[in-house]
Amino acid sequence: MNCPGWFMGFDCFFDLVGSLVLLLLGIYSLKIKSIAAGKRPHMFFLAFILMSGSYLVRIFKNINIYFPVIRSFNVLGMEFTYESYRIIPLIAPVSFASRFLFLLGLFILYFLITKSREKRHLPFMIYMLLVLTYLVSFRQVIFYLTAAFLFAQVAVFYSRNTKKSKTLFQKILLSGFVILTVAQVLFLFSHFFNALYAPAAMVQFAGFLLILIDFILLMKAK
Amino acid sequence: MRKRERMEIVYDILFSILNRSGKIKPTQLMTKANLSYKMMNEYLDDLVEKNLVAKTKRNQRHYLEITDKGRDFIEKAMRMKRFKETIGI
Repeated sequence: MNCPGWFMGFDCFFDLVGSLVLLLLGIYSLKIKSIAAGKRPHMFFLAFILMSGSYLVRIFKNINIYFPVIRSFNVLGMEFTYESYRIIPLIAPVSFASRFLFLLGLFILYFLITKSREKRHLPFMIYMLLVLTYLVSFRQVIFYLTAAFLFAQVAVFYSRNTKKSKTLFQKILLSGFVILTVAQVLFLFSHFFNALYAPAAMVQFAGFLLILIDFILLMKAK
Repeated sequence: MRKRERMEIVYDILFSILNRSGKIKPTQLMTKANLSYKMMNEYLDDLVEKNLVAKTKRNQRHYLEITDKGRDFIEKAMRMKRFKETIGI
């Protein structure tokens, strides 16, 4: 955990905003199924919901790590107290679940946005994702590297889209995804320089905020 | 060319009427929404029944007018379409 003491709790708030933005995108993606053919709206819903869920799981995990409880027990009249996580045996699987959900959601989004037709590779890809998530449980750097790569791919697709139609909404969305990519790179380097963790979380928050602004503008435009 | 979904055709009909200040002649609608006479009538019956479009007559001429409910509907549909295009769904 690279989070500096003074920042503990703030990152949970930032993650919560990210989770809510992704939830909003997911719900609205499903809502447009009446005007979009095929299963794409359902798949976009799944991708956003998985990523949103992963942030919620991470918040749950971080709160348990940041705010441990004091437990005590009595042996032969002597009182022993110790600091404990609320769900200490669950920290590792919860961390694994959080990373797997995030990478799976992001991978589905990448798969949908790049309009990859090779659906027969999907089961193998999910298996590889499981292996990758297992690996990233030991090496956080690989997790952020993968996330940065997938976010960058999504951003590249949106940049091509922006060149075609040049709407303000697409430009803002592109900026949001570029910022999210930068945030993952900063998280990656925070593994080596702890001081980068807080800026990375803030940059990620800014990315989600931009996407939220874009969504509000889209809804308000006449 | 890809066949249009039912919802897309409804959207095209309402959008064509709205683009003509909310009132259009049936023949113009056929051209604007790219529909055959038979198809247009099928869709219009449904839209009139759902109170999205109203049939009116002025100076011996027939017109199709978008209702307030129709305007609300097209606004929502436009919002969804914008979202769909922006996100890439």
